[in-house]
Amino acid sequence: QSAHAKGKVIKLKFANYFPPPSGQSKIAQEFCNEVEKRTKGRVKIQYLAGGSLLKAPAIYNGIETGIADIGYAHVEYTPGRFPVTSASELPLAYPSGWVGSQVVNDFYNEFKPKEWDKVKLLWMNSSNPSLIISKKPVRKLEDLKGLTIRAPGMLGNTIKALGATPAPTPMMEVYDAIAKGVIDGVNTPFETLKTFRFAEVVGYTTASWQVGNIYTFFVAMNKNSYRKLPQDIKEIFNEVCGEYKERYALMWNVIDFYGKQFAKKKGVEIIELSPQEVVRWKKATEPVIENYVNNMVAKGYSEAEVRGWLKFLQDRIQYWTKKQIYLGIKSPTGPPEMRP
Amino acid sequence: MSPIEIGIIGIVVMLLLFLLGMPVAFAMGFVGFIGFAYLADPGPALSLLAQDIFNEFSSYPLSVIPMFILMGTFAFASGISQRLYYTSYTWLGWLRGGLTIATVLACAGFAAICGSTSATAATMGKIALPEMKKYDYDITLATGTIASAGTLGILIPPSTVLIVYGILVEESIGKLFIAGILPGLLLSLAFVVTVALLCWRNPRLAPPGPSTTWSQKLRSTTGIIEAVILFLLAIGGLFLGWFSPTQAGAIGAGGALIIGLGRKQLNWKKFFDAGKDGLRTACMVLFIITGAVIFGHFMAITTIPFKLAEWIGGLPIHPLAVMGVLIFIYFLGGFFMDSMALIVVTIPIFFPIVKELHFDTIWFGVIIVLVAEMGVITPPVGVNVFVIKGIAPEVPLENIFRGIFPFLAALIIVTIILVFVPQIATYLPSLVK
Amino acid sequence: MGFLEKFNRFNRRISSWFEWVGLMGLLLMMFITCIDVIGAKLFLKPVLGAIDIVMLSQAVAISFVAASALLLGRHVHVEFFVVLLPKRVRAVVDSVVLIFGLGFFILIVWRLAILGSYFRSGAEVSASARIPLFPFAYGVAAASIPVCLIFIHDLINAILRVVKK
Ligand code: NA
Ligand code: NA
Repeated sequence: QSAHAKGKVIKLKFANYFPPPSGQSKIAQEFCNEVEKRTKGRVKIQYLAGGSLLKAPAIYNGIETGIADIGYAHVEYTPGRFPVTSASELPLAYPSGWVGSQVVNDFYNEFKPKEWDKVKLLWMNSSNPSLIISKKPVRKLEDLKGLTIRAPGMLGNTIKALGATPAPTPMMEVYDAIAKGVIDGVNTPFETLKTFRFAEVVGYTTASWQVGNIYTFFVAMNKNSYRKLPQDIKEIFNEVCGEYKERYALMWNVIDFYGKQFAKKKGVEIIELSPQEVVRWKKATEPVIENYVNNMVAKGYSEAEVRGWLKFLQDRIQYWTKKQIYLGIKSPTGPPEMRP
Repeated sequence: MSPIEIGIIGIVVMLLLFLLGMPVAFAMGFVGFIGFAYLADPGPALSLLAQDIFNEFSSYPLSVIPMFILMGTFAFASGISQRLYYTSYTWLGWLRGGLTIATVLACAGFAAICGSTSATAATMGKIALPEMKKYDYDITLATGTIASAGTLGILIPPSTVLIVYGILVEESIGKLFIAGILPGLLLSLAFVVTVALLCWRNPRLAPPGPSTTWSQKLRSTTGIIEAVILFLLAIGGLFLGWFSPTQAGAIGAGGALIIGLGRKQLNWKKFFDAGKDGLRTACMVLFIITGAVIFGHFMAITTIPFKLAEWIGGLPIHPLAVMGVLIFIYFLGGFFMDSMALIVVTIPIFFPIVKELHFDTIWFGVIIVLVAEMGVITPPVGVNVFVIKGIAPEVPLENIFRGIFPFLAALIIVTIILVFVPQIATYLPSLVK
Repeated sequence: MGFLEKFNRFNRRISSWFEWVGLMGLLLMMFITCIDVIGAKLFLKPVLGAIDIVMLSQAVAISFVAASALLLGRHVHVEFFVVLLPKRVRAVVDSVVLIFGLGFFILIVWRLAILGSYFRSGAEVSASARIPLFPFAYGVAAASIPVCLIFIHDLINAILRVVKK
């Protein structure tokens, strides 16, 4: 028998570290309201944004142990905990956040990595491709030498391979750190130029989506809290989750435009890489992918299996890229057919 | 019981534990944990306890606190602070009450390298009290002056209170530091005037010191050149955007260390003692912050802060009156609570109101610091008064408290001036892009 | 020398050792930051993982000095009220407060050990230098043990004051 008797209000807590005014926070608030509306008030979700319940690095653990019932974060806040899922964060040339979001969901559904067994994964999404957002112009590979770029975990490996020094500066400190020259830039999407107001302190953004790596985000729920939902509520809940999986993918895409517009308004120069540079950058980041394969083999996975994940990811990127072009969804990054 | 009632019981129990002598950091953490366990479940509460402690102790934004405290203790051990005092004394000793005025100015000078009120009071107390006694200065005036002028440590940059405030409201710490400069000078002036008035009314309070020659004055001034350089490097570096606050603190500490070694003022023992002293102070501060974070998580799920904010925000009075109510709440809170803990607990509650009413974030930070300065010297809980009492055990506590009242009046006047002329705080930061 | 005095001496010694560990953590924070700044500003050679090292050193610094800070009465607390109480009542109040403090720190030792195991089983590392996190959570747990011992000592002392004629 379910712990929640019929007619009793089920109270849940949703923890998010994004500050309340950001797109990533507004949509989470909408999700909470939608669940409440569709269950006719039988589920009430207290939404705690801006890290007021859990700061970013504590969110995954908080979901697992029930501090929050639902939470939102990306896997690089707990480096090392999601080795298989990290494959999706390699520089595989994601053209857009929409494509990335579809791909990471496919990846999870295909392989169901057991690193997620302790929570109920509701859905995943990816950030938009990370770019080089910097004080100094980065037009060619050599320009990255001696620069310190904020990029935690797996993304840091890409930055290192490109010749810069990665640093895991907390997101809230990045603005000030760039302003003061403590770091020279940050490896995040267009969107952050507005969300975190980086456009006020940088001069350039190199739209290097061709080596673009993403941050893989997850919306996960405490297993017990999910199990305790009555069957009819579970059905409604799953339905809302399904809708928000797509809405999150679109949300990322839209806020990237806002970020690029804001950057242009603030006079940030957007640098597109020349075709020759793209070849060099791709070549420079190849070892990152090989290193990942070697590390995973050392951890006891078979090489064929690991290469299988990568092949799957690359295939799905191609598939969803065509799909996005076919659907006419526009993005500020990616091949010409995707641009507005 | 409703979550709000549980929250109110939690606050009362916490105040009770304060009163019964439990260290405030532990009381906040303990009550926060129990409250969270009661409102949510014990399992999540236990996990959150461990997460909070590990995350706060290893928080990079907080690392600025140990670094600046270390800079302060190294500056003391390297003799930098004593020389600052000696210079002020050489220039101003001949004045009636000159030694006391010199103390105020030395406090202001030390405040420029130290971010904590109790460290400033402790340091200046150790140096200045023996000197003032030697010249038959009135002990009530002397102790009251040092306890009060020590509070300049959190107004003149660097300031631990402004750092914590900046983290809590996500405001640029560099700008907050710069905002503290003019109000800090104004308050120093107000304290000087207070001393002058007191000594003018009652000359026996402070006999004039010996007069010095110009060459003595100039020679003493060369003694503080490296202190000036250290200040320019650490704070100038922050101002010009060379360093993050943590880096400025580390460079300042390293610089003080090098000065100490260069002047042969530091041996291994002094070096380690200074490091340990800084470490203990940093530990105290970080425990308070962690306790407040744990308590804050409990408060967040009681919904009290949101209701309280709604109530004050909805008061049908002029925004300035709302600000008056806020300042008064802080003033009352300061009677009983350590200023830092008070700020950490309450800013997340009151800051949304301040935003709502379109008050300037940086200006409000300076106002909060001024009220916090009152808190550390007012009875019954006045941390600075206790620090001075620790240095001069023979002076009755009530005498020290009596000594601070004229300075408290000066603080209140400066706060009122700042409420009506906010530009004193906001002008300099507006020049920084 | 009575048991309580021996116990007290033991606590003092262990707190002082732990304080040295904490001091090394604090000095490492300062040195690594200075090297990073000088390296980055003058030689375009920042230290990889400087922030990771500062963060983890700080956890060591703060937790390992906690016992010593407690012994020296450095944690801010309110005194004016308890000093007004009669001696016996004060001993009772102290006992209650110390039991709460002891219970709180026992929970801290226990849960940080669990957090350490959680970090270990999940293979969590710091974000740039890839330093394993679990030894540091275990470290905070271990550093809190002397705090518990000090509370036990003070508690026995307070209870003796309650029952003393
Ligand atoms: Na200061
Ligand atoms: Na007070």
